[in-house]
Amino acid sequence: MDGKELAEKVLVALAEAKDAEGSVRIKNAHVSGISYMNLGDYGLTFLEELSDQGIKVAVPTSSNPCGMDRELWNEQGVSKDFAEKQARVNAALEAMGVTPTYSCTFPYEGSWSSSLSRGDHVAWAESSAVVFGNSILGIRTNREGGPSALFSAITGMTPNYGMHEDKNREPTLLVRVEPPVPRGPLEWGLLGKKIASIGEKARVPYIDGLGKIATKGELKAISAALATFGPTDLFLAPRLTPEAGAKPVGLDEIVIDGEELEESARRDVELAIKGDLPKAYFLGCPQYGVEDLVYLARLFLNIERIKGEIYVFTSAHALSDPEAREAVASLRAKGVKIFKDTCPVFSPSPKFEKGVLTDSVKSSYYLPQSKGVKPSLEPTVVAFMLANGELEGE
Amino acid sequence: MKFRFSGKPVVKGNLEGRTLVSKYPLSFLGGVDPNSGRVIDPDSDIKGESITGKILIYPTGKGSTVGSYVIYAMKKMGTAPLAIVLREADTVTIIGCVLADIPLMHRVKPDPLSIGNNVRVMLSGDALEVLE
Repeated sequence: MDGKELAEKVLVALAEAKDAEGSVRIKNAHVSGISYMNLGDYGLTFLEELSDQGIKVAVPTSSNPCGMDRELWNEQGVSKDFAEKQARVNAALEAMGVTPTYSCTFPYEGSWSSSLSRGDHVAWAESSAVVFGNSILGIRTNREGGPSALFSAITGMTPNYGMHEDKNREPTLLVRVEPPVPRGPLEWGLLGKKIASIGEKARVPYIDGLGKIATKGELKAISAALATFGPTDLFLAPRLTPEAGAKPVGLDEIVIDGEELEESARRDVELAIKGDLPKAYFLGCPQYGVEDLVYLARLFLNIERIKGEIYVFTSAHALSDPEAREAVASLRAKGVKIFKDTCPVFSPSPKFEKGVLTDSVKSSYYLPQSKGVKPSLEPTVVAFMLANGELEGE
Repeated sequence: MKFRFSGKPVVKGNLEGRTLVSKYPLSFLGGVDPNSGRVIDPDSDIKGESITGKILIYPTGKGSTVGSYVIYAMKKMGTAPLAIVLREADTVTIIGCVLADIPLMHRVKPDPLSIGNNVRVMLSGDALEVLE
């Protein structure tokens, strides 16, 4: 096969099947589906065949998390066999010119995001980044899959339909959150899940009641949850998203009780105190950014050595920040396990055999599929309680 | 009795073969064993059936986008279906069929799921014809 020709054939077929108005040029691409855990030998062989032909990406292309921390895979518990296969996947991608970012947040958090402007077309294959990018940055991308993003990267084009067209970026539903959504990534994730569960009608929700400001962590959480549980690729919110405009009139309207969200977030804390919950907590889905790492280091400031197990997943671009590195050094010294380049959903390790707690609504959906473990959703403060020895039980 | 269905070809092809029909969306990653060509999805109504050499008819694809590479691998191993007919094509199946050069048709009217199993059909252009 001729890879370049094949890439063009794929895009033409996609465009025709989706009734797209031709194709548009993209500024960058983000490929996913690159963990050897998902790819297996079929995917690995395909990528190696493609790269052996000398095919190169035509636009800057970043990569989603792979199956391991490329430096600490042994400490992470990944086998040598797996690590070798993963290294071959990574080598094939990098030979095609893919930038080794290995992060689900790089498209909107990394160094390229500052060169993107509202209205720019891109092809991203990480659903949480798709919602964050369309909504918060105002860029335009459909929810691509690993292969479609790769073929877009090779051709520099993507079919012009869906989120690339103005007509599909208009609000379809008015959501009022009253009282406003409480603070915290779990709370914002729960709200996202609730809205997404409405289904097709919530394709582009206009959300009133998110307040004037939000932390990066909250925006990441709601974006990830909207993408995980429904068809939403774009949400609009006054003051938070550039395309929100005035409150729409004449749309169907639903009201979500902010207090109820708060209650459901706190529901299990009591159970946690009784000692009935797992003694492991996983943070960083989507991967932790600089702000999150610094916040966690402050939260754990007075803990000398943590109780239980705390896992944090972050990215190389976050760790390029000196403040983040300082936070990570302090957390690691207390016994917190911190990995980059990967995430538990895409990696064979950790397995969380005895169960796990998390504040990530997205991973509460994916962890059961990938590991057969259903995590308990707990607010971030429970991570502190666990680390501080308040969940010892008995 | 001959009956003619019409649809939109995504990957064009002219061929004859026997049908295998499922009422459920199919994931090629995890739902099919590429080595044997058999469906292994425990919830599928065609579990245990071989899709190799069949004209495979189902509503649409689901699951991981790595499924595209599985379709391609099956073609190389000789376990792939002869053609795929869907109500509505999804990205995973479209890409897999283009990579593997497996004829793919969608938006077929009337509903192609109404064609039974093991029926001889002919695919050509925008037509899907029942031959028996």
